Amino acid sequence: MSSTDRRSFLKTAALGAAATWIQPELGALYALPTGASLRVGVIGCGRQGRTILAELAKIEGVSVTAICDVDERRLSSSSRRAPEAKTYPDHKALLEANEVDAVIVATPTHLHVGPAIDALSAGKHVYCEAPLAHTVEDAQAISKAAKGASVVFQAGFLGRSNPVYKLARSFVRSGAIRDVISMRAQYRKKQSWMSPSNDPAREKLLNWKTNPEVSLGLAGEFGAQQLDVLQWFTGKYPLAVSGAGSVVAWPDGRKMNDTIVCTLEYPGGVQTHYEATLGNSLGGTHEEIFGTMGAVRLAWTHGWMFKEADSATQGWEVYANRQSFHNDEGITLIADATKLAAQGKLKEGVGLPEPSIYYGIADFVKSVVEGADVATSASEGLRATVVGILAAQAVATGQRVEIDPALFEG
Amino acid sequence: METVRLAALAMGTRFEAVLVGEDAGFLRAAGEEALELISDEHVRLSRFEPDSVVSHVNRNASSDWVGVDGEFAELLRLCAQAVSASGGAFDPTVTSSSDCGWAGVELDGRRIRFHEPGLSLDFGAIAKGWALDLARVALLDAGVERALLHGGTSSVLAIGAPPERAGWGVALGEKGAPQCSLRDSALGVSAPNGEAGGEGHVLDPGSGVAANRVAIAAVVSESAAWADAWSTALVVRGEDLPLRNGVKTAFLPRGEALDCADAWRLNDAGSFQFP
Repeated sequence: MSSTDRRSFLKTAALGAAATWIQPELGALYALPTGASLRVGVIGCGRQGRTILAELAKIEGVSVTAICDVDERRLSSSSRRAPEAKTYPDHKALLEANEVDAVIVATPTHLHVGPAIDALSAGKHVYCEAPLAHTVEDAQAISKAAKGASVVFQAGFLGRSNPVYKLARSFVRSGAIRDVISMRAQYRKKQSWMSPSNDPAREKLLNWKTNPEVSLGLAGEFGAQQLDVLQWFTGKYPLAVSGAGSVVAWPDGRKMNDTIVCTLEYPGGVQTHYEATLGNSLGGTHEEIFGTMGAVRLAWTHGWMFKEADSATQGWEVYANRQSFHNDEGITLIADATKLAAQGKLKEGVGLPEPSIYYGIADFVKSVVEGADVATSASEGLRATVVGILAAQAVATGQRVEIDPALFEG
Repeated sequence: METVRLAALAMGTRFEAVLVGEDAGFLRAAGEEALELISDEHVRLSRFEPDSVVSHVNRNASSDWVGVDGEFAELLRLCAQAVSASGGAFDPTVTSSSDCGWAGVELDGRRIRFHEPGLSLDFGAIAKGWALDLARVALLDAGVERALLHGGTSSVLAIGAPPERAGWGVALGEKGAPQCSLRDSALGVSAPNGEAGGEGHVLDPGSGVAANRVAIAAVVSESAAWADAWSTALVVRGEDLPLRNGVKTAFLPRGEALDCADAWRLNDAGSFQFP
């Protein structure tokens, strides 16, 4: 890779010592304008749906009027979080009742397409969890429906709404780590991915993630989300992906790999190494971008910048909060740092004040109520989903898969 | 019969689960789901996590009403009941000026606000039990019939009993310590010094000084959250707090032997009614 190629990898010019510290607003709590209200329905009440219900409750002016799940137990446990909401066993009845302005689709990935398209047809604003779908066809269908609708559609790729990530991105885009040479991301959690049930039908319903017929596995469920962060930071999408996977942590007869690796190739020779496992939890979930003058590590609630010894020191680094990782020292990325430092409260700014999902949901509500720009559009959601689907395909087949940019058009 | 043991770190301690049944894969999945729920409650209820619901309330409720989800509002109402029933001996608030406490909290359906600057919520004395109660719902829903879960050994939840046993035996301390037997019930244990020893970590909400009336307080109740809250109240008020609402309690006044023979009568476990 020539020096010119590396430089052009980031569209913005590398400013080096002149890098300015652009500070996005720390997602201060979002409240609807006085008098405004929004009725929201949540379709899919598993763990993610329950989490979303708690975040919706924080936004004044938003009321959850309907929740939906085919599983009665999940519906009743979610009712505890949204006691005023009417409950529906299927999304069509929820939409027919016509008591919502917007819906959140948080069903299993392969069951996004029905509720998402039906809600758009019914004129409802839609937030659809990531990845959009488990097949390119379904993802394209959702994207097409969203583009043809006059309502807001937001794809649930959360890096684009996260204040720590926005801050980190502004650093990277302004050249703070200079030329990007490689990227890496990981998802590690010790968890079997099995849900318990004594009823075979319910067990099949709950255990969709380990079913290769409908699940993208780790590459799709987490990879798509994490790889989108790297795509958003660099503005580049991969040209090809190779992968491999195996069942090593949970040899219980499952076909879905519990431990995977992928390599993604980007224009100009940059590569991303992605690894995910359900057998070990070290390091948890994070993404890293390595440049010639430094690196950033992003861990959803936290972010750090690591500088090379020969990179220029910025004035603000003097008062920056730092954290040690063995032989490396990371500068903690704190949104609103200048203001907090002036108040002597820099430490209080370490870590996101709200969960990452809050900012995605708040962005969606803001787009619906105030017409703000959509944080992750249907097109961006489709691209990120396609990358996840092809990465899953590479892992499942062990083959290198070229990514045809035509697939990004839906 | 298979036995599956699982553990997770949450709420500043280690939660363990022992599940007994026919199918190890099923038990593991059920236990994982229960521990995942407990981890989720840690994320929601820890005042040391900036992105928890508690931190969200603590940051914002002094200036305005703060909306919370229905389940969090349930926990707030349970706290209000425990504060009232214990005469303030249980109080899930911390405050810089010590005379207000829970009285400075106003609840309105799914909204909360504070009337005193510097007030904040601290569910440390009830969160483990609350999380165990949620875990129990999930385990019973899944069809688990025999399980013992505990958080840091001070909050214990029993579902059913081990095969051919009347209940899960739990010792209150070292070998030779009093024991109780739990079946479809929960145990909360509090001590002024906790595991760390030294200065008492349970403060009397009335005076703000470390409680030292009793050496240990243990409560059996249908609800693990209630057992947690009530054992804390007992450490603060000791024998002054009357046995009430059918909760059988055992506590050890300083320097006296613990006699809890009456406290662990199994037919009383689960008979508790909220005030």
